[in-house]
Amino acid sequence: MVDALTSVLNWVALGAALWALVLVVLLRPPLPGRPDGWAYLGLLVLLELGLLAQAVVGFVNLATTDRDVEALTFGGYLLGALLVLPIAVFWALAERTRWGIAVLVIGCLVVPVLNLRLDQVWAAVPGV
Amino acid sequence: MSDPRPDAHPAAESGARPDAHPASESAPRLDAHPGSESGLRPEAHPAPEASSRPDEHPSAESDPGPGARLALEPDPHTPSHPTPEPAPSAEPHGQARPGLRAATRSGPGRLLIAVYALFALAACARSAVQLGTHFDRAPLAYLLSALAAVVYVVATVGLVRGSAASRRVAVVSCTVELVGVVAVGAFSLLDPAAFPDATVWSLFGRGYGFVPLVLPVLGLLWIRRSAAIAGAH
Repeated sequence: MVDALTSVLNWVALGAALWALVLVVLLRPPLPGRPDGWAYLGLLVLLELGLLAQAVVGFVNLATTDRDVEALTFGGYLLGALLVLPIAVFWALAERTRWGIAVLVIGCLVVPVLNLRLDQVWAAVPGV
Repeated sequence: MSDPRPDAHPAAESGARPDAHPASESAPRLDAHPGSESGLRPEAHPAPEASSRPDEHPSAESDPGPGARLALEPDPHTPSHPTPEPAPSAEPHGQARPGLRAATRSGPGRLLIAVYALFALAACARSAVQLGTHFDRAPLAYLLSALAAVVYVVATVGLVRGSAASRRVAVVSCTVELVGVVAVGAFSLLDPAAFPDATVWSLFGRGYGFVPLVLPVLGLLWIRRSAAIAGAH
């Protein structure tokens, strides 16, 4: 769909997942108030902004394409991708344990999966 | 973050009931790392910890917030506490164990609930699309999708609430889920024609990395385990 932006977002999300994995090992939740905490949360904010841009572009593409795209599914993935990170951060930071930080790993890994499905829906690959 | 630690006050001297519930975000997890972190928590409290609090499950007593617990069941093992604590929380004090809700929601439960919520969201969205746009294409598969979505939502809510009753609901829904994923998985393998379009449970959840097959097992195990944690001390 928006190939360049989407793949950048995927790589950033994978990087953020890896970073969160390191934080799991170090048992160091990315709390606001510490430089590294701000850095990590800032990265997630950037990622979220990127996803927002992707959603805007995606909806514009959806509205202007003359191909037959499953609009509801496509829009669902675009919007669903926006929900994942905020909810994951909220749920993760409520508990400053390894398990809490691990929620961030999962949340970040979900983003590429959603983007993959987004591309599949756009290309009209039959759904899994 | 500079909350007055409710457990630091002399009530602990009453002896029989050491405070296991700091009642707020300031549970010991980070403070367990002496010398870390920027002085965010001046109350790095090895001393009260060592002297009066037998809890060794720091992770199990965390809680998303004081407000979140207010509506919850008071622990039946705790004698009621007529005098309000000076703490900014209505948490009933004096339990030596994490409490069912905290035990259910923390530690591995936190990750489990996150994955459950993810599946609830995904299954609901998918089911809504299927039912709303092309229900007649594969009614059986789509009804099963809707059932799966409902089951995931119920299980998620049951785990998040973490009361005795809601945990029983979660047990039922995890069991339904397990039966469903096995039955639909087998059925979709034997008679693919009945499932022209996929559900979450088709082929044992292969389209979702077999997570739908593993999730109910983990859910049931965790419900057992967290009951043990809550009742352990």
